[in-house]
Amino acid sequence: MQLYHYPFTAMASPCELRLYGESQALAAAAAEAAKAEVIRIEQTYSRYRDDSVVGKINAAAGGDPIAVNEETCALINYATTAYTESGGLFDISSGVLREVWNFKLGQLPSPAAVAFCLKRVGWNKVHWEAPNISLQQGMELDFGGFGKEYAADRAAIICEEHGISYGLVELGGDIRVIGPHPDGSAWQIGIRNPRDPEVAVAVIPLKTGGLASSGDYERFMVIDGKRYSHILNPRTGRPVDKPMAGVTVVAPLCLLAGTAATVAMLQGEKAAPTFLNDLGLPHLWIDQAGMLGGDLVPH
Amino acid sequence: MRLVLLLLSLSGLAACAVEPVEAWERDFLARPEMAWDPDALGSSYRNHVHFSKEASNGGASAGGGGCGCN
Amino acid sequence: MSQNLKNKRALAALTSAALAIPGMSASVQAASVLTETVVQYKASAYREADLDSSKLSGGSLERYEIDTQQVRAQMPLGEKTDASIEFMYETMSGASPWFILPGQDGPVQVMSGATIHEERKDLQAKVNHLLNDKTVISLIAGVSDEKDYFAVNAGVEALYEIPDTQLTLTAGLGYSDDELEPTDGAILPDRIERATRDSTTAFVGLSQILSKTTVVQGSLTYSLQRGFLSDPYKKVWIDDQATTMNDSRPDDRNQFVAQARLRHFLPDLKAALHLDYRYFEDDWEVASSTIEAAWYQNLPGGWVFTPSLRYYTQSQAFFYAPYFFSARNDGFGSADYRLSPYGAISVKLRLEKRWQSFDLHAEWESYEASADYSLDSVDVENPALVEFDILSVGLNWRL
Repeated sequence: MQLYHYPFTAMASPCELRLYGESQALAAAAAEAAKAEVIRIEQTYSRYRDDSVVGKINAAAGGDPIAVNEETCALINYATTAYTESGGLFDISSGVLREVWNFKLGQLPSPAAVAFCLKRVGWNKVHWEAPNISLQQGMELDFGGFGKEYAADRAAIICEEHGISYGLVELGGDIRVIGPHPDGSAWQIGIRNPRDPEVAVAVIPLKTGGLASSGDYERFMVIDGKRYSHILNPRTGRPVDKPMAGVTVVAPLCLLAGTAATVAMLQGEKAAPTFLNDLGLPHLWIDQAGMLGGDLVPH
Repeated sequence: MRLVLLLLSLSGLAACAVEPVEAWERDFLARPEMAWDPDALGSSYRNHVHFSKEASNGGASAGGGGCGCN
Repeated sequence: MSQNLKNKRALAALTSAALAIPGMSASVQAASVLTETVVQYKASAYREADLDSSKLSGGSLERYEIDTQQVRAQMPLGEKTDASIEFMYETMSGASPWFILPGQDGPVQVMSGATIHEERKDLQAKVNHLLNDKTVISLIAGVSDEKDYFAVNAGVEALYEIPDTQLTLTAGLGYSDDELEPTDGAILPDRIERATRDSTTAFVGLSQILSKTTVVQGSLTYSLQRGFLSDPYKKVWIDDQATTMNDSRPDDRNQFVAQARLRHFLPDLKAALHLDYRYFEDDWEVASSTIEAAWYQNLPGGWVFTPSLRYYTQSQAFFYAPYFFSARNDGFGSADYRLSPYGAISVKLRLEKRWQSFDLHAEWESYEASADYSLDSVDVENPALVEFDILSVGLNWRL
């Protein structure tokens, strides 16, 4: 059996399928189907497309409810559960905060602007009674917080359905394993240092399940020597004070790993280690000082 | 009947050794070669052969009829 | 509630919400119906070894040959229902054991003189319906037709996954109504012209997932047969009268089966182990044990090699003897080798090649029955015990 690589770009991220196949034709057929699924999810849930489900829900804000299909219902239910279980930290309606926290401008918004914006944030303000959803005027949903992880899980399942038993799916750093290498050995997943992305701080062996990371290395601004992360707390409307530099979680599904990592980032440096320990999922964190923690720390 | 008691005690023993297996961890169990009868035609053929050549038959099925086997 | 427990509960809630997404765990749901159409074909050649000439007193040495063809199609009927239909056609020829005479060096078999040529057609249909995501209900119906035999059967089965456990409960009820019209029954004065029998079967089973790689199942089956259960083509030698009488058996039979099965997957070897044990007993005093082990070895290139071994041992029916010195008081008597005490060993090898929507396989089985293989000590071996080989080839096609 041969290992085939299929790099592609989706969800604004570099993606790759690594599949072991009996033949190139079989692996290619699986890769095509998996890629098509990732692109389908991207197009269905993109907030940038007017014709996407999310685009339509957002466009109808303040108007009549929109009825959604079974898949979208289940995803919204998942987001609702994540909102409840995280005490409101995981909130798919928090995207509008980016309007006031424009990291490219390098300017802090006024407290009044933040307060005004916060009125348009909050999953509890959304009227959701499956299959009908209606947003209040000015609100917006964003599935970006879990869409990529969901797509990784789906792509792996599609590959399995195409007879692939060994391989992995990576969508912009979020990983779902289809199966280990054919000899049974684990995939070695390198975790980047948020402060120095070229250097791996740890290598995590993964035979099954998913892995997802969240960090503040992607977008931030420094004003008066203070670093403002792009991790925005939907409860305060402000960047999380002292978030972890990065959190990586391993879970049976990439979706669960992603949600756990996102919520841990929103918890801040102090609360995150306890939260992650209590959750019981294998994890790794790096704090602002570059210290490593969690049960996946290399010995 | 002794064997039945043995079976029951074995299943009791098994119940103590159960390890929780979540739905997404059942991929090995869902493999075709892990089915109770992976080859439907093969098992109905063999049941028929053994039925006609041995005194015993049956077990956990409500299907099938007799035959005038010699 | 402690923070710890709260977070554990949070994970459980998220997990179940994630698994509720359609297509997230579709491949691992146990209670499900088929989503694709599968067509299967199998051809088998069954060859019984000739009788040892030292054990033969009259008739043909040549025993049974059966050529069987089977076709099966299973297809989805909507989202909650699937159906399967299976057709079997076989042609049989050969001579069959008639009765046994006492001989100088033990009993000798008298075979039926004429070579029998027969055919059998059997049609079975099954519909599975998903009542909810935990419950499947199945209806079964079938007919089997031979020149001298006609049977119809019907049954119902149910499968229920007990929520929040790793247990699956199965139960079923089946009924078969059989009619015999033995060849030459209208001509031969001592052969029955027409007879009927029926059989009712009930079973319960429980399967338990023990780990990610192991599942076990236990089941209990009870079956009651009523009517003409004798073999119209067989006779029994009564020595003191120097004559034969017809094979004669009680007109009811209560059967009881306990079965235990295990399936274990070895991920490192990519192999599956099957272990099956069956205990059988009935009120004819037949008790038997069957042990079967199979090893499904996945090999590179989509090949699966499966060696398997089966051991069978049974005790005799209370009215069985190779021949009788004098007739039994109850009037029963049978010299049928199938009711004699013996054991049997069979070896089977199977090679399968899987493609994306297509599988091909070939199988060879060799079966030998002998008094030496019996767990009990056997005084006199029935001379008609069978030895046979089966060669099968088959294909599965997923549309």
